[in-house]
Amino acid sequence: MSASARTSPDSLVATPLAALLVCHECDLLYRQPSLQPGQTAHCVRCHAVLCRSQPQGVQRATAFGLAALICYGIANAWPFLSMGAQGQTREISLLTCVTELYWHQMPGLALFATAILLIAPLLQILGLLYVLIPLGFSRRLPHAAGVCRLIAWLTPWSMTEIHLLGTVVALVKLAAMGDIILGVAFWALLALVLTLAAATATLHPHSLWTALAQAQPWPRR
Amino acid sequence: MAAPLTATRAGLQVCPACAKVHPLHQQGACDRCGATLHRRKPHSLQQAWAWLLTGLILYVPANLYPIMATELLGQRTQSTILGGVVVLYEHHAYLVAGVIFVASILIPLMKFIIMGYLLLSIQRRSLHQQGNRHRLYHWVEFVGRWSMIDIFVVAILGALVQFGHFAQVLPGVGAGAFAAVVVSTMFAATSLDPRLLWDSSDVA
Repeated sequence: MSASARTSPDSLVATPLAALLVCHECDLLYRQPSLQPGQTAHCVRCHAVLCRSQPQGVQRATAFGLAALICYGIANAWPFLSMGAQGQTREISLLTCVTELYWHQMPGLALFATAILLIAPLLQILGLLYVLIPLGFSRRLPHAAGVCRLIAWLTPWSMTEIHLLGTVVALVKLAAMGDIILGVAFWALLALVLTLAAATATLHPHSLWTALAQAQPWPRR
Repeated sequence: MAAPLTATRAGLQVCPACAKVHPLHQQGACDRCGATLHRRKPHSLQQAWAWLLTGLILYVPANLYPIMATELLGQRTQSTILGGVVVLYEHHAYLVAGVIFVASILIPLMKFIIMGYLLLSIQRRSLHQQGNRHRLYHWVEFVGRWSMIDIFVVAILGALVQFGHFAQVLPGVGAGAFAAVVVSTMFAATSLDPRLLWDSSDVA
């Protein structure tokens, strides 16, 4: 597929800008390919994904985004883990993981952990929904483009999946010390990781920006 | 071999955020998404070097200071990152020891070496193995955040293991330094513009 997207340099120079596509990782110039549903175009030089054909991408990503929001709510409202040892039981929530850092004289680390564990994923979900729900009706709200840029910047700093793996490691370390019960929030966090990854993967940036450019501004000025 | 037709050679540039194609001479904000236009990330190499060196300096306290302390029946044991791996290994928890060793020791070290190599190769305008170097860059960018796993382990243990005199886990100074190492190297990777790896072949 990708090889046919490249044509001779002369014909590319005469092509209107809107019909061109540039690999954002190695700068190679292409003509916008016409893809069959489900097809992906890769750069011939660096193999980066140029664009994907994702029918119903906006609707699917909205659905996953809404599911992620519900999971986020459950993950924060219910107990995360509890541990029993020496006749005592200790129960913690996701929030406890960061507040305890604060009480142990590590305010900077507590703030940072709050940002990557709680704030970044929430902003990511809310931002996605702010852009995607109106986009389902071919509308775009004020500052939708800015929100998209923010989400793209935020994504690597949203580290719920790393927290999940960290939890597994911590549980193995504690297995010999006491009885551990995985709370509802643990499973909700697992579901959050999966739905958020699906919401991000189901809509390639190129598809998102194309849909956004075609949407009508709303409210109309 | 003729130089490949890049956007730069065609007198074009793409918006760094939304990838809209603009003429090279256009400056200011992208008319589609409002991001500031630039052909390559400005000061990409300087910023990447600065973050990489910051990370390298912080790597020293991150490994010397304990990342957590465990109090069992009044007995206080402090453990560094490497010490934690050794203890896990001695308790035959090989899989977890392996995960922590890779995430906390191997990945940061590999990142320093690979990023340093990539930056030097760009400065020498190397034409050697561009595809593989690009793959290395992707690996560094993808894998970097996973080093944060140890920070979360400390946070969870510190929150959960609070049984007063019987057992208590306290986060240590090393954890803060190690988080800063991971942040610095993540910024080093995002400051590096991968297109610089390919620019040397465009003038050839």
